[in-house]
Amino acid sequence: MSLVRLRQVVKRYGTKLSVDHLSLTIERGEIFGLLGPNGAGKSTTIKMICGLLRSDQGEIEVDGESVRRHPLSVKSKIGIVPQEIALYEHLTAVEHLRFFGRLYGLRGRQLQERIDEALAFVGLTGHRNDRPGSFSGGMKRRLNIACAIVHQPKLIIMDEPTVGIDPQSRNHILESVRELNRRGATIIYTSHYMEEVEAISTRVGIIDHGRLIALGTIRELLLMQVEEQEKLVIETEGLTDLAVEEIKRHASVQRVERRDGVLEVYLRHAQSYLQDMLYILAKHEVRIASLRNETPNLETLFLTLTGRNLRD
Amino acid sequence: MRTIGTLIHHELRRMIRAKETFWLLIFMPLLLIFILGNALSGFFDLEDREVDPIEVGLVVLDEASDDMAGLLRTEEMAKWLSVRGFPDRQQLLDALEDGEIEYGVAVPEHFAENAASGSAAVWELYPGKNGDRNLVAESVIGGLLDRINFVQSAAAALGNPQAAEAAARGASGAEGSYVNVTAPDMSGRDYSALEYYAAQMLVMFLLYSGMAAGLSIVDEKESRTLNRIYAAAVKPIQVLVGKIAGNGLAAFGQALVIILFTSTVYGVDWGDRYAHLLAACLLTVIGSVSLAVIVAAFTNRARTVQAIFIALTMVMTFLSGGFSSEIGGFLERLGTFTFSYWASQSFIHLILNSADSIVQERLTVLGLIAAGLFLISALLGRKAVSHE
Repeated sequence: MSLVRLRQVVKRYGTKLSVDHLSLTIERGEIFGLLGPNGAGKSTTIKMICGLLRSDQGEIEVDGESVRRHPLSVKSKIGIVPQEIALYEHLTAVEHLRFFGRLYGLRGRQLQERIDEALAFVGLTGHRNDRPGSFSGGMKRRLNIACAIVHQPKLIIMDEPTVGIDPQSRNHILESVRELNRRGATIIYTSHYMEEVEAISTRVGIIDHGRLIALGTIRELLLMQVEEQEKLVIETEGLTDLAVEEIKRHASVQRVERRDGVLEVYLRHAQSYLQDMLYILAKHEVRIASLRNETPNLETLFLTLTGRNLRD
Repeated sequence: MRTIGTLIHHELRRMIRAKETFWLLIFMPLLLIFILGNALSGFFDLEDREVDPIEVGLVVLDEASDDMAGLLRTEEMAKWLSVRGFPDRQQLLDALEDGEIEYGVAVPEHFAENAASGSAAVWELYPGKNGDRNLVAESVIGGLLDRINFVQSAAAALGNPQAAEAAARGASGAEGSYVNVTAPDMSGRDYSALEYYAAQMLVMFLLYSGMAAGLSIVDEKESRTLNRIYAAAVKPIQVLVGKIAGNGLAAFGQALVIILFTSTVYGVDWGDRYAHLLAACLLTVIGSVSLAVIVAAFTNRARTVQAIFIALTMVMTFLSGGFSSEIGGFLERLGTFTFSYWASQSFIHLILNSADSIVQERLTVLGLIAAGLFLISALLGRKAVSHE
């Protein structure tokens, strides 16, 4: 059953089309990785889901409610972890959670319990009375997250929550995302770190130029690319033009690149045709120093689909 | 309401925790009142100073007193006073209010007759806006009147019993003097330099602290915390009300501290019309907070907002006589178009213990300006707290 549903959503900034008839469904209980290069429309999409921006066209529903018609009700079900560390220098950790908890309508004992839970969850119980000024980058990020989950929302949106932090805090945050998901929250996660998205997402959507260009589980997306092409990298000695020409003529081979003695062979189903490649090289008395099969990952998939690196 | 309460509490805490708040909004005005008030008091030491002739308006409503009033126009007096005649009291008061003259003197009807008969007979003196110039005028005219009293006493000694009675009163001091110093409403009070600057600095810092609402809004935009607030179930109007009310309350607290401190430590007499005093504070705060919202609607940079606020506050305070009561004709007239002029005039007339009608007139103008600013800020409010 879906928790978030976007139908033909359009958002323009002046004449620039930021989100272009985007349709997307996010199921309850999943960790949805939203990928896209800078300016692809990720943040705009997130802001529209949160009710921070109004769409020009289309419909967005969260938990069955229209964001346009019931913005306050929808907002109470969402916790957003912004890309920027949005904290107050004059408030302690516990005061941050009290302030945002109250804005979400929590009061009294319930508020206190949620504050304690959120602080414990992000590992800041021992720093509850400290101000962000004395925190490391990772601790600030964790407090940033705690502010978003203090009201225990159904949907948590994390917009690049691990930017600029140490590996330890990064692991803590990723583990926190999994734990929040285990506790029943649906997560939308955007990141420039492809390995993070690969590691935690159950499904991934790739946006470019405001349009959804790929959607599926990581396995589905990778299989799609595996079928598309793999790469055999062969370091050789005594490589001849004849050997290269014969490899190029093989039916499964799409492209061959030769740099000195290194041969890069782009082909479909590399495992199946590996023997053929070795046979051709042996026939031409080419010696093989090393050989590796590079399977695609999200990074290469992204590159293939958008023509850009994620961090461009 | 709970959300607004949370936002107000948040705003108050933000101000209280900022160290510079205490220094800027509480300590600075008290210090400036002390420094400026005492610096101006030093100017009262007239023996060492050249004083330009004071522009005095004179209305003689008793024909029989023409000769006596003419003593103000003698060559000896010309060193101190430049006298200009007026046909009636109202025109004299209008000129005084407009700053055309610096001091007013009215010789009332039947003055000579009353003086001769020993009945109550006084000259009415109307102080202007400049405390030190008022003192000089009072001193010069008072001296002249003492001499007249002396002449009257001499006449009494020559056998006129009624005049002798008047002369006896003259010798006994102020009660029997022909001089009655009065504010334009004839309530009879002047202000000291400390009192003048207490009123001016109160207005200046109320303007500044009210404008902190604008800084707070823009700060939240810059630090992205405004986005975070809107991500919760909060409406823009709630944010706007929270900011305005929070900063308004802080400004009120500031006004209370300044009024109580200057009253008890500096001896400033703010009068006993607390409702009027409250109204003056309230309208000043409403106006300044509204100005803050208007400015915040047009910029997203805290530094720009701060620069605009400081410039606006300083210019308005200067034009309304906040730094020096003598800024010259054109600038002074320009000052009457500023919000702070009407705010400071309201406080000054409360200190002067002016008639209710005069205070209310100033409060009405102040209220109209504040209402206008509030209306504009209401129209621009959504834009000011917009996060997009």
